[in-house]
Amino acid sequence: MSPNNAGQSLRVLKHIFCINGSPSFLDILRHLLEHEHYMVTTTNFVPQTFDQIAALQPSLLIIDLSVGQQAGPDLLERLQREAITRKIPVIVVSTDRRLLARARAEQALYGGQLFLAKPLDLDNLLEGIHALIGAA
Amino acid sequence: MGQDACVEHFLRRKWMQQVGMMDKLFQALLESAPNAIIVMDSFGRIALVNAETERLFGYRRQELLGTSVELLLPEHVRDGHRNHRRDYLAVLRTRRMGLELELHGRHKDGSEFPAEISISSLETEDGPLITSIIRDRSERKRAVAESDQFLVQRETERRCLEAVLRQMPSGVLIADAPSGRIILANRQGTRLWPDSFRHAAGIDEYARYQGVHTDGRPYQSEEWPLARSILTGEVVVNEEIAFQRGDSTRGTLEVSSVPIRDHDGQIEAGIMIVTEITQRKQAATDRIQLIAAQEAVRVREEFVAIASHELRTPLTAIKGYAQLLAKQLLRSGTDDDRSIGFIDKLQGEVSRLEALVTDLLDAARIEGGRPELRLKVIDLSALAEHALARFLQAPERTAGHTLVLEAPEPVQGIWDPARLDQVLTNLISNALKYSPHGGEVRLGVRRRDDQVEVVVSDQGLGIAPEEREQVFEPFSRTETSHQSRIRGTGLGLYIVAQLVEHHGGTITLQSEHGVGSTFTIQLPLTPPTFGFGNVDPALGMTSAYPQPSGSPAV
Repeated sequence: MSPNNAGQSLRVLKHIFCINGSPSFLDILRHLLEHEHYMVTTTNFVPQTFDQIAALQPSLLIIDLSVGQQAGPDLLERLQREAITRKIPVIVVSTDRRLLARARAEQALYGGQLFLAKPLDLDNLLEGIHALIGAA
Repeated sequence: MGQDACVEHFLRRKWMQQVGMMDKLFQALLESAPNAIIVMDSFGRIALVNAETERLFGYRRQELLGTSVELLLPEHVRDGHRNHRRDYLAVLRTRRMGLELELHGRHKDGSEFPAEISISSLETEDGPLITSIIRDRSERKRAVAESDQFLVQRETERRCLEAVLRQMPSGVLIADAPSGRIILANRQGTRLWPDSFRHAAGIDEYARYQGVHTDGRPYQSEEWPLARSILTGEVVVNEEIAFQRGDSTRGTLEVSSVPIRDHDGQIEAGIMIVTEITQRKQAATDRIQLIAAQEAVRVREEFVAIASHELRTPLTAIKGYAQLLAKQLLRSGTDDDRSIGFIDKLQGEVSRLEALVTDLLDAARIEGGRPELRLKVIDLSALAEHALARFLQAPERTAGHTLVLEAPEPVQGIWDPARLDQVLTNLISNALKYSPHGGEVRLGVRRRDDQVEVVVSDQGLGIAPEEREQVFEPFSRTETSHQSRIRGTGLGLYIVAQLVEHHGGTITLQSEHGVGSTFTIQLPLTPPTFGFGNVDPALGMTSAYPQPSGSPAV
């Protein structure tokens, strides 16, 4: 494969950026999505997370909101506020139903296209991903 | 001049000199007299006035001499006065005028003033001269008026005070000092106690007010605030006193008292103000209970929220790995290693869930109230050795660690062996988990007077100072455990602390980041609520566990 071809194939590879979640959940997402030929990056909330997203411009974000952590809602709000990230679709997952309901109710503020409660069904997740960004 | 003539001349001169001096003296007395003095002839014409007359009536002397005395009277009494004057001349006598009557003088400016007038007469060769001595009564009248006003004011104040005392919601008792005899009590003061009690004749009768200390001791007479104010000058502010009413019901009073001192600083009385706060106190208690109940609900909701999250996390993983495994098995050309990997992870998550459920149930039982302790007479040293031995039999958990038991002698006490075994197991398990690079884990049991001290120490990661306070809270996970990916439910130390507390003991933590942690438990040999009925009679005073060897187990 020539460098040019390689570049083209990288460009078409859809990149899913997964943030937070337990190590097991991130491991499952990686297995599931890589098997579907998506490019997967997993990370925790760190101060540089927004800059990474802005720089990498992934095709989709999967963000896990945890109980008692303000970093998740803060990141969602900033992603929605900044023009450079506003168009990236976001799937919000959480074990906390109330947190999910709040995020969904304030979608104008927090953004987000799909809200899934954990434990979630992987087929539902894949369906949602396909609907948002299509197959890999 | 003959000698006699000389003597007579001398005496005459002397006499004349004396008369001159007398005249001057009389003149000085007249002018310095504090009262107005007017001398008039039988026709009422003024023949002599003094300086005070000028001041009092506002006329110069020259204006008065020779004029009718009626000039100095208000116009409407002038005619009457002329008649009086004629009557007086008919029967000359000395008398005081105006003692009974309200007589008035008239100032040059037309103003009138009350006056007291005495008159006397002197017969002369030129006819009778009448002398009037006039005193301005304005000042005196003003003083009397002020005194009357003062009395009225005092009376008004007294009525106001009575009204205040009658209407105020607090009881007021005033006692004489130093006897303590009650000299005044308002209606509220009398309502609080049966009639006979408010008439205490002295401090030694105050005990009949039936006050009760918070520890149930009755208030002695001299302990009452009023007695303290009278005897020592103490100012008592809002002292709460439980008391018994005449009908034997109980209430709470808020009592303040102050001494009243005379000009010399001597205590002459004491005032005690008594407010019944039974309802207010009950409301405050209700409010505190309500807040506590709300807080309990909040804690429980938070516990449930975190517990749900903690349960759903391994459930999510189990569901996810199960689905991945199913997908894997359905694919052609199944990769066995990949499938086995998913099954291993599934088992791991199931174990984690199992541990979590066990801890959650334990914690919920503790949260729900006091867990039932099955107390027995046991040897804690033997129990510790037994617990440590179990870890030695699981080398996969203790690889790289050195386990040391320091239990030089049996320590017998009355405890729940299963619960204390859980405490020791949790602490040893933590010590191993948080020292991932191995090192020494020590378990010490030593008697200290009527307590036993249990120490579990490791040489592991340690806990940051800001996290030490939280480690005994439910679901608290340290940052180190997150970073080091050490798994745990966050309930272990919470359960340990609760079980130690239920045994009447305490647990403390000393730790240095990167050096290790030491947990120290102080347990009484007998739990505070211990009753002999709780002891398993089958065990008597024997230990359920073998005696410790006292040598370190490695």
